[in-house]
Amino acid sequence: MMPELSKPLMEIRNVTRVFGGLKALENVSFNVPRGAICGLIGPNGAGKTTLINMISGLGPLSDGAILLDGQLISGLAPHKIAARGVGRTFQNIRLFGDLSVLENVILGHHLRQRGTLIETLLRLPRSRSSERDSRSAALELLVSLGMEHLANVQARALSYGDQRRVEIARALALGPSLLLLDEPAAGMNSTETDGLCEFLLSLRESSLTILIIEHDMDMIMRMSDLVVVLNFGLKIAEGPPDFVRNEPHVIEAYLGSEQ
Amino acid sequence: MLELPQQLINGLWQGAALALFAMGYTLVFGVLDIINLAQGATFMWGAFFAFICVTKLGWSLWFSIPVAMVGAGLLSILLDRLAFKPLRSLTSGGLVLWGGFIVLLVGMVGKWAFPVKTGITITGAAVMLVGFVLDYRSIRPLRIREVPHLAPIISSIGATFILVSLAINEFGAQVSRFPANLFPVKPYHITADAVISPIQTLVLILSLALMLVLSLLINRTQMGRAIRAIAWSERTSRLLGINVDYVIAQTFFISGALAGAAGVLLGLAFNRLEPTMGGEVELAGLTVIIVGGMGSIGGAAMAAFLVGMIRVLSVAYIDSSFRDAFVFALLILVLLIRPSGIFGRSKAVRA
Repeated sequence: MMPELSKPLMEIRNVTRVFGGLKALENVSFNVPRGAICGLIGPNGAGKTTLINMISGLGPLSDGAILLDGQLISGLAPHKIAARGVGRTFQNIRLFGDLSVLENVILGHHLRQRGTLIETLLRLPRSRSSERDSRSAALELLVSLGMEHLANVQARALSYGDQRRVEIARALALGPSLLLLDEPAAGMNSTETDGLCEFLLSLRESSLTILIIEHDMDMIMRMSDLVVVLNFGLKIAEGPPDFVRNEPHVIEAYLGSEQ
Repeated sequence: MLELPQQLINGLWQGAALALFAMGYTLVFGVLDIINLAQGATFMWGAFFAFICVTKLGWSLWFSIPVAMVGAGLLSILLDRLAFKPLRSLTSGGLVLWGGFIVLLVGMVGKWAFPVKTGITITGAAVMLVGFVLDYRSIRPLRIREVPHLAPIISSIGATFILVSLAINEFGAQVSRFPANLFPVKPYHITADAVISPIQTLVLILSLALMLVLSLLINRTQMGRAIRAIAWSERTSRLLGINVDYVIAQTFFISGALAGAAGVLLGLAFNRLEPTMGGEVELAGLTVIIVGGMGSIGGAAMAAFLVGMIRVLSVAYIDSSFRDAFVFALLILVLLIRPSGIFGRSKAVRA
């Protein structure tokens, strides 16, 4: 079992994505080690969200491959990739506004619930007990995020920061091995951001692997084990936070060259 | 002139049956944003499924009603596969399937000589089959919804033609009736001169029970949550691992089964089955879901009772020929005052 664990959880291999004539991603390769928090940074338009979309199956790769646990996931339908254990949140929040917070989180649990229409109709024991399991698991998640008092509020009534946290809870309800977070701290104040950091770090303790896009550099540098920097679709740096912070390419990408 | 309590009772049971029909109608609209105009034909076939079970197969009515509901539900799934699904994903297979559908339609309703008719029909069916296979082979991970909103309406009208033609072919254009002794006729007295017949009682009770089941299904189960989630955003639902196609099929099944139940019940209550019986309930149902607020299930149920009452009362106290005039007056009034429907939310709030 030990060699299994030392293998990276996700391998991005020479991924290229072309939109029309524009190369949103060009030959990007890196590995995300198991149990690590990997920060994905870069200026606007660098291709960060495109990469996360490619991982979760939204649109085909123009070239390259993405492997999860050594198995090819690029090319699979989004719901199949989710079933392999990839949960995600979105830069522009995508909660089900009509449903309550608790229902949103329970939906994330959907894959673990098997129950056909007939069973549901007859309320057979399997359907009823899985419904109960989902409900209590979802409540537990909300408690761990300190949001249990909002369980029955309609999702669209929440504040921006709360909506982001519900999205994270929903992604976690899937029981993922890899969590993709697209700017989770956007719209949060500094107290909320600190709380989020603590929560994400506690997730790492429970051996979840996280790939996170974030513009808040403090947060990225504080949390990440590994930082990957993209610029104009190209990977320009990769390494521990301290290394990346002092990379000339990275400084140039963010601040412009000195000439 | 009949007494008011009697009219209220009539309005109540007719409204209940209409509610069943309209809830299925609005459910599909809520999930897919399409109006399934073939719902009336599903309603009619539900009634005839029960008719076949009772008269040809000799089954008891209690067994025939659920069988008819399942039959109508499966018919509804088939309709989705043939008339709507190809439009949701504009794949080459979908286009071929759609083309075959039109040829089949032309073949079935056209007034051709027999060999020509058969030839066209078989060709249409064959092309559809090819399209179905192609479509199945090329279903994209994410469907592109570039098809205009009008297309599903037109294809469901086409499907209605086919289903009505098939029924005329099978049962003739005249009225079919259930055996007269199928149900006791001695009415229950509610007050001295207000009565409700056993069959009307059955319609009322069964409709209310199915409404309750639907409401629990939508609000309390994982399936219902998935249906509401897809109604909100199909794309996000897919990403969360919800099998959208499966849930859509379930939605069509529920919608069809409800229409079928309404068909059996109203067919029994009036003991009049004819291939064109779906037309009237179709229009009434359309009014109901617009008045109730498109996509709102509770709203549809309420509006169905309202429309049922208006129809019955206008027949009793004004003139039966004004029946639909009052219903559509209500429709126009609601559209003028509150275009999103009495219980509906405006698009701005939804988005």
